[in-house]
Amino acid sequence: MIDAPSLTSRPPATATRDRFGPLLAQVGRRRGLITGTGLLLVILLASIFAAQLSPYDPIAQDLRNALKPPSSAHPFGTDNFGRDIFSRVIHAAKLDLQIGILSVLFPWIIGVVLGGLAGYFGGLIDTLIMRTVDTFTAFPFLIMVIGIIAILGPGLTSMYIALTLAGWSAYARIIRGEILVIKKSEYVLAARSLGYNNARIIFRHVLPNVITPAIIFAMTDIVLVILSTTSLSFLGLGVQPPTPEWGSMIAEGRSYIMLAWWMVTLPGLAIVLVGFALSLFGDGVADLLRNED
Amino acid sequence: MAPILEIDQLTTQIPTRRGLLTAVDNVSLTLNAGESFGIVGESGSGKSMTCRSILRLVPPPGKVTHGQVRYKGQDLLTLSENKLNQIRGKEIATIVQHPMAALNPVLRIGPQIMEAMLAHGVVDSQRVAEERAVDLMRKVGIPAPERRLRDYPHQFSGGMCQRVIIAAALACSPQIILADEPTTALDVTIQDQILKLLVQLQQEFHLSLILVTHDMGVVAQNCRRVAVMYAGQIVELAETVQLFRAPRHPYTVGLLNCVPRTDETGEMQPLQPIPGAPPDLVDPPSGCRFHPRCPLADATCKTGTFPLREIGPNHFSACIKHAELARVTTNSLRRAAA
Repeated sequence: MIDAPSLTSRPPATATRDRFGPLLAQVGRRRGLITGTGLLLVILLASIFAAQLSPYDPIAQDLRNALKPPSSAHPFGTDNFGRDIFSRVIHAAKLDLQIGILSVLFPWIIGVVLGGLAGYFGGLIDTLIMRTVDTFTAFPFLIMVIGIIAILGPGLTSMYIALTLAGWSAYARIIRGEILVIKKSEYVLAARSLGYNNARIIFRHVLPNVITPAIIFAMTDIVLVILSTTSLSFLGLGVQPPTPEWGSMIAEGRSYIMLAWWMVTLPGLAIVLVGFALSLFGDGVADLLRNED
Repeated sequence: MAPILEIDQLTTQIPTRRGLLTAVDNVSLTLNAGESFGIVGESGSGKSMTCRSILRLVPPPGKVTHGQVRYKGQDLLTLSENKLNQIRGKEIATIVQHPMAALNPVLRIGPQIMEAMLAHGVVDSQRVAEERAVDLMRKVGIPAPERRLRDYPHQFSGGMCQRVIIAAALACSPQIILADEPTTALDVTIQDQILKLLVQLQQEFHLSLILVTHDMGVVAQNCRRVAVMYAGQIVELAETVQLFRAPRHPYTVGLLNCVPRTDETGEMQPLQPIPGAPPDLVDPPSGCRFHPRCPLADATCKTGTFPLREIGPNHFSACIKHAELARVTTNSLRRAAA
């Protein structure tokens, strides 16, 4: 009763915000998510419109202007071949984001399906899949990736294959654990008692309820994958020159680090920025998904 | 009345670390068309397991190890999983114990009711399914069904969830409904509403209903015949009226003494709990399983087997002292009257 007057004098601002629906209201309360999404959008747009935004051709050499420090003509300076580093950083964004997303998407799909089968059916299928997972987890991530690329030969395709083979086991493990809990739930029993087949139960009733942790993990995984991609390119196993890629740009700049700090630092900062944006975005999405439960 | 479902010597066992647990032990009963049949017993007496065994929905590693469940000339226990899936939900529907947990939290209510119809091909289009879902929701007493169709389960109360589940169970016009403690998780006023609804629908659609419960009052109000289960076995089976008027198994008497009631003067009678605890089903007592808790038990009860025997018209009891019990109960009734 004491609260009655304050209820009637509720500020109209809340009412207008309610109109946008509860989800949007929640987004509004999360500054991290907004910052992360904003940064990601900027990076994404920059990578899409790389050709329009970059002042120079990213692979055109201009040896007279080699190793120039940042200036108004070359905001990020030039490298040892006189290529404009700003243009190269922007062009690299597209490739690096693409690698980050695809190298998480493939293992995500494989891991979710195999983990789902293992958790739902149990028994022999579970043993087979999970022992395979154990085998894959036994190798350190980067060692395995490097090993697979060494077998397949360096290049973008080998890198996708290697990252997929090395990455799926984590998702399988997450999904299986969640399914073990969900499959004992009443609504799965109810679905079985309604005569639904296994495929329908798995894809419509079980997976949508266990997918959240795998999505959250994927967000942080994208950052890790981009970092390992740059490490691979740094080692000369990933993207091959002259294609601009942040890791290989850092690798090339290493020999000139005393002469031209910008060759290493500025592509490095691009990686930091993407990592920062993805982390904020991932944490924000995780919070949103958890709150919905 | 013609039998629609015949359960014959059904036995369900669950391997545990301590040995084989016999959850359902040699249970036989017949469900007639259009009849409501109650199964009562304490927790762990095997009543829910009996219900789940009918459609082979025993949680692994549990397994139906023996017996037959005859439905329309086929044995449900030996049918292939695919064939059985065409019966589950379509001809024999189940209503489970916890309505709040039995709906998928990430799907809207409407699609969950429609899904059974579409999965079994009862209707051929999304639109028809939706119309029928709205009809069903109205039938089970959900207000504003066109709007509620688009709500999620967490927006419904427990009683409303149970109504949704009943609607989904009715969606394919089944012949039989297995209701496994449909009201245990609900509060008393809602319990009553849901049971009334269930019985009303049962009569309207001429359904056969198996109602599993631990509440003698629920049985008295809603079932024509009833089986009393103890330690995985049926110990007494009779028409409800008969069972309440003249119980012929000491365990049934014990259960009836646990129901609160008043004498002729309106005075509340003291409740008499059954002494002891239900037996361990991995290593059940020899002879009659109820003998350690039974006031009438003597040496003859401790060995041998105690199958159900017909002791009166449509009245079966597993107790060998049913005649003695009849004398005792009539005497105590006479004493109470005096």
